[in-house]
Amino acid sequence: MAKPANRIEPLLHNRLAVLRAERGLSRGQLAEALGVNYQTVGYLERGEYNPSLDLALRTADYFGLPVEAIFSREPFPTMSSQLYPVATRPGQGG
Amino acid sequence: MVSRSMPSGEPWVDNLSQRRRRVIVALTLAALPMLLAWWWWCSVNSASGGLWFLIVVILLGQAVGGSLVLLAHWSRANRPDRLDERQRQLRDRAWVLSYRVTVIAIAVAVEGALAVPVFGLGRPITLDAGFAYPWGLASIVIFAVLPAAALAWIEPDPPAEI
Repeated sequence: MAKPANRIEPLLHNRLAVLRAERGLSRGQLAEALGVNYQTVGYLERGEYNPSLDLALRTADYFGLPVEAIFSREPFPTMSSQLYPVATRPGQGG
Repeated sequence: MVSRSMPSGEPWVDNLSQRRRRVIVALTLAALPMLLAWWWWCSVNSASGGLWFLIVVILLGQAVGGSLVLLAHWSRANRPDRLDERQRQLRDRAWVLSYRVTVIAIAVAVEGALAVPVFGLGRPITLDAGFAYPWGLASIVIFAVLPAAALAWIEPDPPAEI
């Protein structure tokens, strides 16, 4: 995730790219649904822009998920580690 | 596949990369001082002719053309009905940056003018109208273009569509 040199606000991690890909949406389509410029979706996905509370809640409403499932101050665990925890992988753990 | 996701119908001023916009800003803001410096140098050295005219035309074109591009970019970004929260935030940052540059430029000019009688052993300040008027005019143009230049300078490249 690119981080501009003059960034002053804390970095927010998000799952927007995954959610958008999951639903087969283009940035333009998501932008239209959220009422923002299509470039803003790109900046959000790259973590170069932190949404306002209003935009975060609108995004959560659109995807039908709690806001903390989309935005987080800590990095999200990878999908593979969530689907296949180390303990359940063949040949590893009990 | 990675491509720029510019919807069709977007004007070319919205499609300029940050690097190109910064080059335009530098050329535009440098053009008028360079033109005035060239004018002053020619008047001191009594140069004239085709080269004088050619350089004047190039620098004037640079100033006018660059200003028009920057103002077109600004006016596109400045339409309230088209702005989302990120764009409004970016525009606010551009205003703040241009305000800072203006304040610093004025402070440096005033301090410079005050430094002459203070450190110049009582020498009076004289302003030649032929010198002051063009510089005043150029300053007005530069300060008017400054918010647009600041926006063009700070706006990052749009993310590529993946």
